[in-house]
Amino acid sequence: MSEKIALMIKKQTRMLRDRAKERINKHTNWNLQKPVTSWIAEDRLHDEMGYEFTIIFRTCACSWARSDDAGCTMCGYFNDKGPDSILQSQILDQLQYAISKHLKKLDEIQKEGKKTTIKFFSSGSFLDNEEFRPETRIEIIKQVVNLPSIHNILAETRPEFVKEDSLKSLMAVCNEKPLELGIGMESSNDYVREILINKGFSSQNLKDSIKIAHKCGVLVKTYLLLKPPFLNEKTAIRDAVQSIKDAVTWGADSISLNPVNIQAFTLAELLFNHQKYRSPWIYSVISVFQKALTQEILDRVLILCSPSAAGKERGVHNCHDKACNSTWLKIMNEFISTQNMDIIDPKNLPYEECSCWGEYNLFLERSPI
Amino acid sequence: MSFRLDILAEDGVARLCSLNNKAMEIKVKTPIAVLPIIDYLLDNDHYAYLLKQQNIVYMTSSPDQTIPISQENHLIFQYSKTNYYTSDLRPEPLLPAQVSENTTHFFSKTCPSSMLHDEFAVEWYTQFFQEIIKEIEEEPQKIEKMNGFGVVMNFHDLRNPDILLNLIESFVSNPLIYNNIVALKIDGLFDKKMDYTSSVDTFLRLKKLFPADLLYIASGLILPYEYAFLINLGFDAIDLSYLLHTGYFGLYYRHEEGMEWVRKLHSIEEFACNCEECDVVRELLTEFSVISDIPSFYTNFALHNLRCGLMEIERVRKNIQRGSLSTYLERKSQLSLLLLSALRHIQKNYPSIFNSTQSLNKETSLPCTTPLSYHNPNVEQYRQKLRHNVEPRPNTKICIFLPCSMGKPYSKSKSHRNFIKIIKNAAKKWYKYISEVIITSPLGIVPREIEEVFPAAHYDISVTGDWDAEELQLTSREIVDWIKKLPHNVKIIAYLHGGYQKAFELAMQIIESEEKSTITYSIPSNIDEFSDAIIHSLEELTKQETSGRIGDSLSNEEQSIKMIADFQFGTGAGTALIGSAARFLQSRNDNIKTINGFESHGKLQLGRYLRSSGHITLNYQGGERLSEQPGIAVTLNTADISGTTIFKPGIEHVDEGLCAGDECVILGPNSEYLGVGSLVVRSETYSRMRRGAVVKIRKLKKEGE
Ligand code: SF4
Ligand SMILES: [Zn+2]
Ligand SMILES: [Zn+2]
Repeated sequence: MSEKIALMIKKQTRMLRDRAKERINKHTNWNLQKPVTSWIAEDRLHDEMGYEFTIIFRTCACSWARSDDAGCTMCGYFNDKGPDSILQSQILDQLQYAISKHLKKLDEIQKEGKKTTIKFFSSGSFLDNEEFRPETRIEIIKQVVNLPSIHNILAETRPEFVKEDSLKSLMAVCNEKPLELGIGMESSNDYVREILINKGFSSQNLKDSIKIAHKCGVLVKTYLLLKPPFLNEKTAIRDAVQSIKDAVTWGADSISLNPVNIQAFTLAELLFNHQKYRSPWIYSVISVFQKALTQEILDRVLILCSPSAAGKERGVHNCHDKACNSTWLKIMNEFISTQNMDIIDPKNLPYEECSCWGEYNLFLERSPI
Repeated sequence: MSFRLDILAEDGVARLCSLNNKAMEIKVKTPIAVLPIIDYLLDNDHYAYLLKQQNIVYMTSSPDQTIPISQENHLIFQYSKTNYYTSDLRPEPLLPAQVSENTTHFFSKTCPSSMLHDEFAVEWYTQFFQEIIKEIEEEPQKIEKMNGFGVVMNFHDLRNPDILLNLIESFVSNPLIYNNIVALKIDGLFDKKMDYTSSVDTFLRLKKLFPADLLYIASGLILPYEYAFLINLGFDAIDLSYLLHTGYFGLYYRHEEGMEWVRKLHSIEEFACNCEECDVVRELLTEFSVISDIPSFYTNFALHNLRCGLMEIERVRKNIQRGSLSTYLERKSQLSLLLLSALRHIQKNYPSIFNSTQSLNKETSLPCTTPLSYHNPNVEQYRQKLRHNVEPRPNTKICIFLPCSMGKPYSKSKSHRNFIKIIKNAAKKWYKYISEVIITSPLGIVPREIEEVFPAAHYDISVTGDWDAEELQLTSREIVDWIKKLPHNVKIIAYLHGGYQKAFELAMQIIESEEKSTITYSIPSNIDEFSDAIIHSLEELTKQETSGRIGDSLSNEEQSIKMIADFQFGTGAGTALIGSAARFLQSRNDNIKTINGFESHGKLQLGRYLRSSGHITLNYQGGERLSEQPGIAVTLNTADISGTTIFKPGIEHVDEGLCAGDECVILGPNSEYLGVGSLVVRSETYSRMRRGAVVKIRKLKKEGE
């Protein structure tokens, strides 16, 4: 693999990041007391259907995106970053804002007898001390752990921040509720991850972090990317299938397959704008599951997929037909909520319902993108 | 195991080849259609039927795709198509573990994002080429077993495709590549219709870097109406994948009109096509009210489009076989601005590639219906040969210019029979001192003696009388050149009217301004004046003493063959061939005249003249007489030859300018005469081919002779 190509990808990503920075710097009227967004929605939990309570904090942004390496080629979370001067107290304000906004709903869920996962996203790493001081993290957990219906806690982080001491200090305040770390593994292939995605960590780094987490009694959820820039649909499916198998072997407790969606100021968007990238087909998501999964895996590992911009041009989609997209997204969701292989058994699927199945098959064999 | 490509014939740059696979005894003739194997469609009867057609090559997208259908009679092109690396950043192997007996493997690497910028593409290709070479070096025995491979070059979205040429040049110059490459698939080069002419330039430059005995496959966003043009550029195969795609996008191919959105077609009447797919749709339309309600309609249209592509390839094949590709192309370009400008582009910028490669050993009709025909390669080649090779009869005393006729050869037409009668009546025994020259467009002029040669007896023009400025200019140029070749004291009579007369008068003006002297000529306005003009001129002549020059003793028929030989082989060939006399024997079917020398009581066969093409084929003795004629020799590196064909390795040199189908003399290493034959490929192709047939032998020196 030519180093020059890797450098070109990095350089292009950096250029786009600089453009994003320029735009963010013009931004003045932040409301740093409010998170980027927060919501409650139905979600598949480890053993049953329940809810997710997601809070996306506005922080000083992902360390990797902030660095000279400029972040990943498909990730536009940087666009949600706050000013570098953001205070830890403001982050706690954001938490308060989200809690008070959703408290009523959490109560209702509790009454329903359902469970909720609380998810901390920051478009970066919850365990990065630059984004969240250790005391801030502990304070956040303390404040949410006893909220109604909260059953477990999920926080996202890059693997280099997974350290025994910080995990132990968090576990101490979790009140026996399971803690899970979401790590963007993307692919088990280093070429795909490090060069095409410009992710900046190796498979070994990831495996090490899973070990540390498990040692501390923390679960690990790995995010896998379906169709990173520069892979065509067919190779992308192959890569995702292999990655799921590897993630299972490496010890992931749950795996979330993320079909790429086009985010602003990313290399993926640049390629998309030049018609050199098409976000993956829903057929491909199903096909990855069909090829990678067995009931045995499903018994051990939770498989998830909650794509952004699904059914739209910039997200996972089939043709332009709304009915077609919704049919297939429904099938996908049903599979996720039931974790039942029968749902995606080719025999049971309505392939002939839409003409785009033919188009897809051609696309798969012939298209360079 | 791959195929071996044999060039069977060429028409200009276009050609007919056969792909031979020894192991499976498969033979496919180009131009071929490359058809993708789509698993999804294999259950479809119509698709399965199309796959059984002849001259089709299957294409699989990756080594892991299996072909569940019978494939005994078909070659398979298989693409490595990967851009995947292992975790330690090593490329995934491009070569498959095993290649079946009828499969050609193509090195291919998708670079979906070369457009990132051209610099990126250059880097990508540098890497790709290195990987190919490395893999071949590491597994030489595999390459041997594969018996040649293909390479896919993707020009998709390069802003400047030329930036790859240097890279490609050094890649091909590696002997491992040069010696083993059998096919080149060119992807995406002709996608951007805005840059079509520069794509043509790139392709012609690219072709120079590769051996000539290579299969060229055109691929990308190309539609059937472009096929003839691309094949004329030298492509041998067309990848039809795009036609399937278009169907699934909802596009319907209509001849000459390109694609049309299916959703805009509503009524049955709009399906002018009679293919089976359209039949199905027409039938279903009685059941469903709108096309889009028919469940299978995308597949129907995809297959209809595919059929259009297959049919077009067949049409192009027929035209190459007949030698009428250029005419076909002119007709096609009347309906497409893209083709029109592309054709003008090559006419204007590449005369040496497209015109001087035209063989005139043809007998097809040549309709000249558009201004494009003024520069039809056959026409250009004719003018070129006439200008360089043919001199007026040396005994010419009177040169009469006449208008052309609809019927060909002219002398068979009513008007010309009449002209000849008048001239003969007026000239009597002096007839042989009169030479007749026919003025016509777009050929310019046709001396009566060579009126049977292609394309003089084969072209056709729709309207006569109205001449445009370009025709006048082209024709007058030819008249000027001919008159300048005439002896000084020749009398000129121009029995012309309309455009002919205009062209002639323009020629006179040109001569006057170029030569700074006036020429006397007469333009009789009716038959009586015409006859009088001849008689008057003769009276003046008979007063002067006519000297007995060499040409004097030759009959008109001898003069004619002499000039035809000059036209075909170059100045002086006629004299060398028939010397002071020859005899002609008419064959029973009237089409063939045997040319005999006077030696051995007129039984020495020199060659045969075919009236239908105006072409001379040489016998052993005829060739011997021409063995010193410049520009028609193939020199071998050994005198030890046998069989019917001479192949590349046995040849030292092929004279420049020889075209496929041309007669040639075969010389040994010391330029000694060995025999005669005809060329399978033109000299330029010979110099760039690695193996294959170059000359078909007609007659060789017999043992002991
Ligand atoms: S994907 Fe994760 S690690 Fe990569 S830039 Fe985005 S937030 Fe940072
Ligand atoms: Zn659809
Ligand atoms: Zn049809």
